[in-house]
Amino acid sequence: MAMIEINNLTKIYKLSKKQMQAAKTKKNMKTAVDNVSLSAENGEIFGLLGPNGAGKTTTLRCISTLLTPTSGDISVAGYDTVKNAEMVRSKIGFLTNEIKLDPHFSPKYLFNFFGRLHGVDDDVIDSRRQELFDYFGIREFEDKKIEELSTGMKQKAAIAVSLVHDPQIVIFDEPTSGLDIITARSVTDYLKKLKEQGKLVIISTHIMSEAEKLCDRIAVIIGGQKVCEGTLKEILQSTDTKDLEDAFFELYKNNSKEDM
Amino acid sequence: MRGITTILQKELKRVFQDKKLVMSLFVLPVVLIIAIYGIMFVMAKNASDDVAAHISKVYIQNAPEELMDVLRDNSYNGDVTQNVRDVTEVTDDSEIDSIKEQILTGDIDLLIIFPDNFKESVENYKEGDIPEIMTYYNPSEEYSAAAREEYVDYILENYREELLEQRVGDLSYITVFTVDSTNNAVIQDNDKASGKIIGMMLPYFITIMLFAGAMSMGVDMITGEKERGTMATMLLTPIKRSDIVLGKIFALMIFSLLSAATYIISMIAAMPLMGNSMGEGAGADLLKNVSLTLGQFGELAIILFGTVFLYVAIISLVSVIAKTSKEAQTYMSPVYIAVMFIGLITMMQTKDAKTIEYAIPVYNISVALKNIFTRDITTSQFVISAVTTYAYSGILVYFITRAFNSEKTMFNA
Repeated sequence: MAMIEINNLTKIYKLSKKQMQAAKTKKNMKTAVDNVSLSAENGEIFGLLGPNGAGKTTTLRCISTLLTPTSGDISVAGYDTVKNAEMVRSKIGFLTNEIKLDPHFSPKYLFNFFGRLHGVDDDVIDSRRQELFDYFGIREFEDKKIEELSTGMKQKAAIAVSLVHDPQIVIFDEPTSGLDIITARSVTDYLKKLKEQGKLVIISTHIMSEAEKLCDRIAVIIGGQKVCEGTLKEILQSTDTKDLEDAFFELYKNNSKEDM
Repeated sequence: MRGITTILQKELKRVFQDKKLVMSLFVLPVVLIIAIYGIMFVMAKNASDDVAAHISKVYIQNAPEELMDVLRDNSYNGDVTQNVRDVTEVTDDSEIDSIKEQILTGDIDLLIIFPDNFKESVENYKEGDIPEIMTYYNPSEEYSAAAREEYVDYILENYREELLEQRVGDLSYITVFTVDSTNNAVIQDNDKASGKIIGMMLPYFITIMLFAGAMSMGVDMITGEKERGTMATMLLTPIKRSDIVLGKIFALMIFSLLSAATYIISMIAAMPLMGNSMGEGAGADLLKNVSLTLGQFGELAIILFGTVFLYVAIISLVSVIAKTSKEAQTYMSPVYIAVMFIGLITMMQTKDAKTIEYAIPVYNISVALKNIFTRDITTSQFVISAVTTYAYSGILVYFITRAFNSEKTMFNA
């Protein structure tokens, strides 16, 4: 059984009048994810590739139980995200830009705090902290308040905190956005390391080179729909292109007509 | 349970590690209250000392010579160390208008005009022909009001009694009877009497202190965390939503109680000052007379704890529904005013509350608090108000937890 199995996931947002005005639409519904199915296994890095607003983040939020599917279902490590949300949350580490660390606390305090909320024993928290803080170079600012840190430092701290409970499944929404090239590299290297440990890593990205280098399999999402899924090689073959960027534009051309 | 305590610890740390917050929540109120009462006391004392030291400037027309002799005698109970009176005789009617003008401007305190031939009218009294002494003063001038009080209530009254004695001989002959001149007429339970005053004011103050103490913190702790995106991080952990809610509610209850305690302690500290300005020891007497029995104290503690629980739950519900802190503040003001108004109602009520009234949310708290102090509450009334208050809080916690589970309220999705 796949670690993550998404069956016919559809997520429809009801729009308030204000949101309808902002989106210049008269429809009070917006389909963010439209009948998407996919599955991912341990020991792979799975990429969701798509432009802004394609439904990547919504899909990831549904997997991480923050949102409830309008229809369809998702199972994570055998647990349903709606019926067994707490079990699902104990299996995953989730990171996205909109989910932030409390600016009034230090990375060290927050790491311990979230470790406890995840039910991790204090001595395990200590050794995890040592490992992750050393790896990401957080140690030198571990006692500073989050509000005093730079964007890169904050992102590193957020990554470390999201991994405190050593989750089997790691879901990162655009993990390198806002990071300088060196920090970005250390993050992608760590994701590879997690994969080598036999964990499942799911990332969303719109950076083609990142997807090309990092992902074992890629699902391309456009307008809420999955338009293609496979290894890089399979995608290039099916679109008859030489690199992912060309493949993506080919897919975009064929699938976004009604939106254009 | 571990979730609740972890969240609770974090919220407490958040406040107590922030020196500015601690200052503004717990230190500043103490300093402010004591300073305000202190300044009020000093100012009130200065004002009354000033009035007492002031020598009234009085103009008198046609005063009988015997009265003028007394007034000119610059001694007070035989003490001649200071001028006690500044009395000028008016000899010319044309001065009257100018004197009245100066009374208006506050330069002269009092004008007393005796009728012509006052003494003869008194001595040759005919039925219905009572001479009238006219005074002119300015009640908006402290000196003037004090001068009139002294002259009318003491000097002229004494003079009147003197003349009356001359006319009828024995004054007790026309006194006919007195009321309670030696008898102590008051039959009351002193505890209940001071309990009544406290019970009238307390529900109102309790509401202000408990509600206000938790209001801004609640908005920051719930709406603020939603806004900053830090709530979602917590929602991603496997602890129950109800643990997060309870952890935050308990933290808010602690802040609410602490800030109320801060206010109460500073008010008690300022009480001697307040007592002095209200009249010697009045405030201290009020407190001294409120001696709670152990039972009353227990009842009070149970109701107060329920009150904190309910108020914090109301604040949390408003905070979780609001999308932004600004929106939360907007919703909070009418709620605060409504809760305060309900506290005020009991202040003015004289009728005994019906048992059913002990089940009306928020209102029952005020009624119960009031009647615990006056010892008018029955056991069943107490139980009803306590149980309903905790039940209402529980229902609110249920709805807050549901809101925490709702992607609409948490993520505006």
